[in-house]
Amino acid sequence: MVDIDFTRLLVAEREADKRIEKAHKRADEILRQAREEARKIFEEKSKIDEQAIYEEIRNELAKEYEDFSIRLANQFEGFRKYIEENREEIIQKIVMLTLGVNL
Amino acid sequence: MRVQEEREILAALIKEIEKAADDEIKKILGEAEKQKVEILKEAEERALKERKKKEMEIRRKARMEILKELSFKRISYRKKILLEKYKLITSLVDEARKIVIDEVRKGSHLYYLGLEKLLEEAIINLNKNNVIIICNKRDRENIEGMLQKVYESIKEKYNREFNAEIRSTLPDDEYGVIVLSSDKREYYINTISSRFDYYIKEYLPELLYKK
Repeated sequence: MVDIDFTRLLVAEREADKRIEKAHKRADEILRQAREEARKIFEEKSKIDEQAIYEEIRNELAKEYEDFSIRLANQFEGFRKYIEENREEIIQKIVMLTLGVNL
Repeated sequence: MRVQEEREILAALIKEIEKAADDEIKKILGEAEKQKVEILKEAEERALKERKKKEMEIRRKARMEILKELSFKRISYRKKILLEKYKLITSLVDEARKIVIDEVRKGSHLYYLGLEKLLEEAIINLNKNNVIIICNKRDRENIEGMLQKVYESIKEKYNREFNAEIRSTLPDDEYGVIVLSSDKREYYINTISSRFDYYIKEYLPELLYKK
């Protein structure tokens, strides 16, 4: 029968407990730091540049407005040209229809 | 020998305890690191989501604000173009009106040619056997003169006969004719001013955009 020195075993166990306890604390610290880091990440990465967005939208809509103005001006130019080229014919038609000559 | 054995067993047990502790520590720290990665990953995802949400909201807000500013400019520009268009149309209409007025006032050949047709059209459309023709004093004689021709034309085309009474009660500055049924309950207005208004309203847009 082997006679074991339990004192040394107890010391070893106590030492192991201490190390485990320390590991728990270390783990808690890791998690605390992670949460802090997460908070910073969230703050940093959820930030937006409001002014840049406004500028981007403003440029986009200004371009749309410019296209609209050009389109409208071109339409009017087409209309003006049509009237100019067909003025006599249109007037003649109105006159004839009014007088009833074409009936 | 026994002491040696005891030492070896003890060392083995202590080693076993230390190894168990090492494993446990490894497990605890491993789990913590794993959780750390999860926490950071989740923070990144949450931040991205939040960023998208904020960005969408800002974009919507910016768009509304800027569109509001630009809509005034749009309306103003559209108004300007419409005004130019209106001026063009008005000048066209005015010119047409002037020509019509000139023709009717001087009692031109064109006017009387048209008047005969206006008279015929009014009688046909009224579709009555007894009619009253209203014209101005100046045109009365001409209408009396053209009535027989109109009568024959309607008889030939529609096999219809009618009796007509002429009254020159239309104001002097009104031209064309109004044809009434003898009981005055039905009428067909074919005056020059009403026709002009009608064609301007009904046909001008069509004429203007005809390609």
